[in-house]
Amino acid sequence: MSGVELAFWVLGAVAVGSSVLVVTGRNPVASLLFLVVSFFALAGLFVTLEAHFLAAIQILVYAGAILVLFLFVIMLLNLGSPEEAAVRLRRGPAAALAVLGAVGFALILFLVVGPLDTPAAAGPDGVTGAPAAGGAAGTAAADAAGRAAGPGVAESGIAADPAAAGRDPGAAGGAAAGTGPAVGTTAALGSALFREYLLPFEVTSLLLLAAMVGAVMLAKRQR
Amino acid sequence: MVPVSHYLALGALLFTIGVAGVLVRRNAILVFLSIEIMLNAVNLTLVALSRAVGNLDGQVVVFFVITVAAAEAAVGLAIIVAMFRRRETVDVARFDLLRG
Repeated sequence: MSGVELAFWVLGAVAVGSSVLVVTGRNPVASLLFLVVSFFALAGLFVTLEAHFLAAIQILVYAGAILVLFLFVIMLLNLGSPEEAAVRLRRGPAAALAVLGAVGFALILFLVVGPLDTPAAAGPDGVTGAPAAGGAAGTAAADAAGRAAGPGVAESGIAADPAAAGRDPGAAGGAAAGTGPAVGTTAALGSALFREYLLPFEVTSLLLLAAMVGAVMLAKRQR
Repeated sequence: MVPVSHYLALGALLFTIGVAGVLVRRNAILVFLSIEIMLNAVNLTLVALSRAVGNLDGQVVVFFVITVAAAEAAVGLAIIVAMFRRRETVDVARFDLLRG
């Protein structure tokens, strides 16, 4: 059994187990914390699928923002009777999930960092998924622009773009092959997002604005 | 290499757990958490199929799903807060104003 398969089974078990505990839990705060565990396991599964950017977004947006919002609301509404306000986790499942989760993330660390240590890897740039070639081209373009901060940044973005686009089939091929120095597909994903899916991306900002206005209007105390 | 069918089975299992939570739980917050589980099960399916097909469209869709989930959580929690102010409960069985 390879490392990826082992990581899949361990993280899948963690995701399913913590999701069951979310649904069956008595205390909303405990359910929420188990959901955080489930989302971390799903982020690990995204890593096994070579979707490193989505794994990072999963943790930042879901575990970092959305679940904190839920936690605020639960504590604001003061749900549950006061005597069970302290989070009492069921020891057995929680301990099993903790051990399994630690093993899973050790495997993920091994999977992601291991390839970078080999000489074939492109270097630490691979962690962020930024291709070394694109970064170098961007830096050169910034130098050409006279190192002016604003134009330099814009220039490097434009210069990196064709490099990323040229790399797109290569990155997809690397993802299909499963290994190789192309760790992550962040550059290819960004290229797809800002080229083919530019209009949906902009509509998304409108959606977020509408959601923000709606949430403020709904939660505002009525006069 | 893990076959894509395993990821699809895992996604289906997680989605079923989420559906069970939506149907069984009566606390509105837990219903929302179950919806998040369902969204994530679909995300896992999309990423797995994106890799199986060999292009990135599935991952872009997951990006949009996460954005929409954030908007949904914000508006939904605001509705829950408003309902709690009015009814002093978050039990979905007691939100029966529209009952005929």
